[in-house]
Amino acid sequence: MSDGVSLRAVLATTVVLLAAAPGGQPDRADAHEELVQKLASGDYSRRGADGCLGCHDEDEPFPTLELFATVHGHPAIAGSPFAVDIATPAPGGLQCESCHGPAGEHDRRMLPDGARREPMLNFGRRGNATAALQNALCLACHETYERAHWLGSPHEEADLACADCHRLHADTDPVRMPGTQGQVCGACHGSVLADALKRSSHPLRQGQLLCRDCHDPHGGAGEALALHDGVNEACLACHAEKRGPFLWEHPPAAENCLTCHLPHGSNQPALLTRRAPQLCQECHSSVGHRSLAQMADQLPQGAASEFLLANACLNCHSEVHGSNHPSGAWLRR
Amino acid sequence: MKARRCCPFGRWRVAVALLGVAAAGIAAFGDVFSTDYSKAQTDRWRCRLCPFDDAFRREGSVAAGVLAVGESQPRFGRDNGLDRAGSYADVAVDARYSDELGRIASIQGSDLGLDARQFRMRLADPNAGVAALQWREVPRNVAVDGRTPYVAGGGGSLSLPADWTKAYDTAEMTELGLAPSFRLATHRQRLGADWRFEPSPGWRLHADYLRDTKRGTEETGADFLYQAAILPKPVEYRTETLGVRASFRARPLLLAVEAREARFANATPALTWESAYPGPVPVGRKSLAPSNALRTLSWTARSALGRTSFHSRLSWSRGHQDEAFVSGTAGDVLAGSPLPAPSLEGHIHGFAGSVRAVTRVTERLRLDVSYRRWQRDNRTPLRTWTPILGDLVPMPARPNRAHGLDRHRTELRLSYRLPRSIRLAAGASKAALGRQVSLGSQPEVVRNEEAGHWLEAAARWRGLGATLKASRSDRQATAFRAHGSNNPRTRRFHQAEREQRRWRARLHGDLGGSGLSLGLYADQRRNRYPGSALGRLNDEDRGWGMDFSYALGTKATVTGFHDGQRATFSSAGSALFGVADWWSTSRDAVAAHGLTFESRLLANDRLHLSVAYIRSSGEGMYRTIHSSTEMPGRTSVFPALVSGQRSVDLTARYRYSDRVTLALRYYGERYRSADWAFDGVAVDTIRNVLTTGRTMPRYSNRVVGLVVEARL
Repeated sequence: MSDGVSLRAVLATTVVLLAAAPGGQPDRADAHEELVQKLASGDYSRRGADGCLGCHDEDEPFPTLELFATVHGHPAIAGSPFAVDIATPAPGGLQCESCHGPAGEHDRRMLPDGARREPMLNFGRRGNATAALQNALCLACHETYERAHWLGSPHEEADLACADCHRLHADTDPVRMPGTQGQVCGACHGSVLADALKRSSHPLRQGQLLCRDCHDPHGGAGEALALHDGVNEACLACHAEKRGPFLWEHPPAAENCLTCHLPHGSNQPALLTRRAPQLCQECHSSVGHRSLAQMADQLPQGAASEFLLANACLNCHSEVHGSNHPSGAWLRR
Repeated sequence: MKARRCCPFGRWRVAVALLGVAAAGIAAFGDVFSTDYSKAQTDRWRCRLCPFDDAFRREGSVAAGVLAVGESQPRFGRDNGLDRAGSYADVAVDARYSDELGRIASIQGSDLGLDARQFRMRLADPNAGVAALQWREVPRNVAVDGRTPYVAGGGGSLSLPADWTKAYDTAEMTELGLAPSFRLATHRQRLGADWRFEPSPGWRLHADYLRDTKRGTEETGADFLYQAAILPKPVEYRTETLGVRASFRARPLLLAVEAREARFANATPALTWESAYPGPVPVGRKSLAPSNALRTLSWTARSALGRTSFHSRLSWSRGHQDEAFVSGTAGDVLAGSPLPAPSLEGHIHGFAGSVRAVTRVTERLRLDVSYRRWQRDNRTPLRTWTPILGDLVPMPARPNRAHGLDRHRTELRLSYRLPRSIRLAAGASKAALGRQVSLGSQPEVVRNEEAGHWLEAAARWRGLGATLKASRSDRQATAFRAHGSNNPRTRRFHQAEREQRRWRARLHGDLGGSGLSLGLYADQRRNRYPGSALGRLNDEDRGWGMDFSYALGTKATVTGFHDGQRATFSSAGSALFGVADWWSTSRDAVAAHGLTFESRLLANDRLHLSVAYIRSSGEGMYRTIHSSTEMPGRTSVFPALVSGQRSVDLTARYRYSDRVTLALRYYGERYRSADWAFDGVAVDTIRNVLTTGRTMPRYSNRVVGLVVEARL
């Protein structure tokens, strides 16, 4: 992107692409109203899943029957859609209709000529109901502590549906697996995946650190969907050695780790936004070495400077997160 | 110490706004959908076509093979454990068991032959709940070419060889090029366990435990005035976290109480080192991370009234640090004053709270109001200390620095849905950050206030989705009070007045029935600090990218992405402690792109082939313009910081039989980097800093692996 790229250019591109968009794709809310009415009617089928699986078998492009290898298809788990002979509050035990809603006339074998088959609620990006309706069906069972703050969370406000991230009929759900979680999140947050390729980064590429270790996609307690109560709490969960309190604190470190660090990856060492001494000199300007301009003639080829090379300021002021030494007032001990 | 209270809209106004939202909700309507489950006549449902046998199974797979790594390169194996040349066992396991009683057990393990192994076991029983055990190892290999003359003597003690030649100039010390190399690396091991149980409908109990140990060696600087050395610091940390939670749910109410305790212990709380320089102080000692503890009690609640949903989370914490101090100096050159206390008795009372109300005012209009508060009340006792600079120079007595904060943020958000899945939203926020005033930490800016607003439009149309959001915010600072020795023209950027402008756009969708999915995104953030004459003047981030996926028939897929980012910072300084006489600009430009091809070939899709190519590059520019009387307009351009990586990942999986699959993998990576702060800086390049002389990594390396996967 050149320097000239602006909001105006992005707007123009968006408008052109939307205008040129081909037809044929259904909108997510195409059948929304009809589905809401079907749910309200409570017109559940007479045969349950037997009325569905006659057509939706393993020859379907969508692997319907794989559901039975999951807890959703287990007959002995209370609350499961396929729970049998076990006390299960509705919508558990309603088989396919637990999630897809009442079948109504959908499972009629023969349709009059030209008649359209009544829709069932489909999930995910190509679903036919709004994200709010899709999610309401999921939350009817899964509105637990972990999803207590879903409503009003950034993902909910962005109309994300549960099935946009989760695979419900599959044996394994990639977003819950360490090796594949990053790919699922990266489908929308591509720049974060790219951050993991930078010079310094958290070990996101190898799945050693998961998105879920810091973020709660269902509505975290802190900002930016943080799993913890704040940014610092998230960082200190693993980097507890920086928690303190210290005898000599460095106020920006106690205030917000992101004042100096980028959490996903950086072109500078140690996930820093900018390197020392430039980063330090943005705040520290007292008389002496802290105020001196660093010039290229202080590189090894010239007069190698202790204020510029190796760890720069941290050659001496190494305890930048705080010092607990009685003589550590300058964060050197 | 008492924190200055601050609340941007005032508590009463926030309360009134929340009540207003609630009142609007009461006047509105019911749920997203309603249905009558009792109409389902399930007694006639037989489920004859349901393959329940699939649910009762004992199955699994084991993969075993060998990986051969070409070269020993720490960065290549920085996170994956493949840092040494040679052979590694590649072992993975995935097994599940479930029975007719609803008992489920699963085991998953990956990279079991590497230092990056992960293992997870899960047991679920309808009567006993769900228990899980997890083991994760996280290596961090940084360098092996760093050199140090220091020898670890145990107990956080570093000594020099007996025949060490001390000198004021590192070039005159004992031949440093012959100093032994050391391994700069750490290794984490995380053991986690959790258990969940539902004693009765609506109730859920949860307990979890995590033990995280980190061992290895990191770098740390240590100095006597202007004579410094980079030391190999022993790392031996252990963090244990225990949490218990009880929650109750009876729609629309959900309540939860949670208690957590985290304890951090450092086995090496101090590091003593021998000075490599001649001088009056032969030995120095520095404090390393002090052991600490944190207890947290949280309360979570969610409820609904009419069409309004209320959410709250309140969390109180108590942080504690009381590690015994080391003495003010290590040697007996200067005994220093007796310490006013043997330990800090450090206490932090924290609070984090958020309340939110979400109301559907009409079917199309939604109003969200949220209020968030984050407080760090530092109750560490203030005492007077006489620090000794460089173990040699007693400095004026001063109180310790204890920093506290009180941050508030209130946000209103209004969204309106138009037909055809178009959504318009607008919001406004007001935030304040008050810094705790104490003799020890007199802040230059006691309080910042920031007001912002934003607009967002989102649409889904004909398979495409587009989102555009633009925002602006202005941060104000209370009167600046010069403090300490800093140039009073400097405004520290996290406290300074700031104008921020941001926008981001995203377009994504499936293009008709062509099999092509496309995503485009771009964003920009600009900060300007209008009140700053010295320090950071402005900064800007830009990002843009695209990704696509294209299905070549039913058996092959091509995916690709490109991401570009640029960050620019400009700042000013004053060498003469007056007005600005030098300016610096740094710019980081990074780009990454990748292409992946996946295909299923041969009869019955026996061969699965995937090829991924990824390339990333980073460049950092730094420039200084110095404009003193002697050297007007002197410009200094530093060599570029470079980091670039190219990798090819080829995997072929051949299904030999229903139970056996062979997988062949080749991964090649080429990495280049340059950094003027390290390249060319040998152990003795800087006259008064004994560095480790480590250099930036450059390598071409590869891994070849052959694995047999067997289904059990």
